[in-house]
Amino acid sequence: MQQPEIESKNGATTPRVVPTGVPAIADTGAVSTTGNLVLQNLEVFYGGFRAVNNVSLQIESKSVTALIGPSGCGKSTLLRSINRMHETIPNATVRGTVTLDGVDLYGSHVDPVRVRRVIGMVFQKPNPFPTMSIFGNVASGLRLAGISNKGEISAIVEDSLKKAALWNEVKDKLDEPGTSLSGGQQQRLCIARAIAVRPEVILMDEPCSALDPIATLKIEELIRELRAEYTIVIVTHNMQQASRVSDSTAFFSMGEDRGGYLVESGRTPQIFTAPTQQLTEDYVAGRFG
Amino acid sequence: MSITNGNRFGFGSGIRADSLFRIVFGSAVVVAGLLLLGVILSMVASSMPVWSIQTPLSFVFGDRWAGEVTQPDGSITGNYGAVPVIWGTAVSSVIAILIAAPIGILAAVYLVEFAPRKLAAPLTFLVELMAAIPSVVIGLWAAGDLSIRLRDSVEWWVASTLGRVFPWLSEDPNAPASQSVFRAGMVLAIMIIPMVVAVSREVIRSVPQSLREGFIGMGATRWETIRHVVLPAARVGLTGAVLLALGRAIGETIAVTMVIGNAEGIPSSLFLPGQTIASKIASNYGEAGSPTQVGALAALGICLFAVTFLLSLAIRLVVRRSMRQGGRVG
Repeated sequence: MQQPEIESKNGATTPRVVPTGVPAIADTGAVSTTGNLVLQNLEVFYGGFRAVNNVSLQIESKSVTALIGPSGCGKSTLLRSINRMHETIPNATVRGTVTLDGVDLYGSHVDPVRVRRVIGMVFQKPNPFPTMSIFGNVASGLRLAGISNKGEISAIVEDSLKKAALWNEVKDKLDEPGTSLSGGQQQRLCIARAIAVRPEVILMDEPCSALDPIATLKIEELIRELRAEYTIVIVTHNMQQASRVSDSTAFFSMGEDRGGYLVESGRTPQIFTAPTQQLTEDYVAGRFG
Repeated sequence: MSITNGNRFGFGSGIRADSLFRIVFGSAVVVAGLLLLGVILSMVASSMPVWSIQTPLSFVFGDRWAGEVTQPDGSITGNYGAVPVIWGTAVSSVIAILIAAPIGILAAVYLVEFAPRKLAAPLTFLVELMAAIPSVVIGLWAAGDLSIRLRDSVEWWVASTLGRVFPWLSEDPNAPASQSVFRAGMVLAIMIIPMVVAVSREVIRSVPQSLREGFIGMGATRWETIRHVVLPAARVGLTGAVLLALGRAIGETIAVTMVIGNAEGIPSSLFLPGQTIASKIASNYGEAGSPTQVGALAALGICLFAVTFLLSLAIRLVVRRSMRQGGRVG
């Protein structure tokens, strides 16, 4: 399987194509080996303030990794540095490396816009585009990627909505605005929108924090299903959620300088039942945070 | 003080204070309402004499401001037609909006989406300063230096290219007019740009950041995000900004009076002098002697008020729609 084309030759911008290293819609069953993320000595700054301190972490392909920790420990900042979203904030900078299947995402020839197409993102608050229909929301990324064939777009939209477990609820009202859906449906629409462009990694920033328990359960179920095809990194405040959906867990805390750092990481059952650090044990036992 | 005494809870005095304030604030509203009513009634009353010589229909649709003649028997005959000034108002305002809307909206997009914070604050302040220039000062500048420069650059260029095809864009190369409807539109554009910028800036800023991030997160560039998400989400509010500015252009008086030339009739070209409703009232009121003359100008005032009233009604509808749309988000 080919590498996704996020690196352009000689720094020149290459014409936009759909990431090619990912299975086509019809191509089912084939297990891809791509989607391995490695963070090395990653530090994230807002101006002079170091929000994330020296994090090294391997994120396994086709699995769910949960980032947990108390508020303000830099989990979301770290997450947003993986697809270079944090760069949209003025004065935000990064030191260290993030590599996806061996490609340094911060390399000088890498276009952040293309990184975000390979590493999709789902946000805390569902954010369907208010002026677009349900169909248009899912198709928007495809149009950005330069796909104009109507039949192809329809097929991908249907497939993405099915994968996001939303198709049956919206198939008769694809032309209605995305904002007409309930909160949980809106979030699944945002997930459909993210997977429509065939990313390899999906970042989720507290995707259920604005949802009720039933909608939350549906999203969690969906996350477990999507794991088969995508590498998923999820930030959550909800420890039960982390233990329910994730394969690995990384626990962060805030240092004396208010910068976040990685306390420990490991398989989720191990972190929750036999952590090596006292701080982790106190946190997962609910003694602080 | 015993518990059975109501004063323990202080009621009585609190309620009295509340009703006092209700009366104070309420009467302020009543005064404002009465003033509006007073203006309308006095305009209608002043216009009455003109209805003794012609009908409202012949006034609104009359194409000539012919004036009046006192007959030997003391009766007055005459005809006042508002079409030329309505034409002048419409054309100068449309020219102004066509120039100011794109410039103002693009500037607002730059201020919100691109300008570094250190630059955005002083630039915004500059735009606000521009809005604070009294219109008579702009009129003074426009009537002198700017008018001649516009005539010898933009107008000359348009007249010698498009003007060869469209007579309404032509001018006499040997004797170009020193004042024109087109220049009034340009001056109006200068005056309303700050308003378009200020309102558009607020509208664009109020588009939730989460929508921008959502689109950027799918692999969109800044420009694609602005085009496909920010501007569509702000569309209704931007329409409101343009309509507000249009209202200002329609009513603007002094600067227009100073550059439009105040000539009767509909000019054959935009590069010739004309008149707007507001400039007509301002320039003729001092010489209006007879009650019918004053009445005709008051009738023009009613027309102007009606147009701006309808426009603000339209703005309210637009804003209400945008709020309903906003309510659906999230």
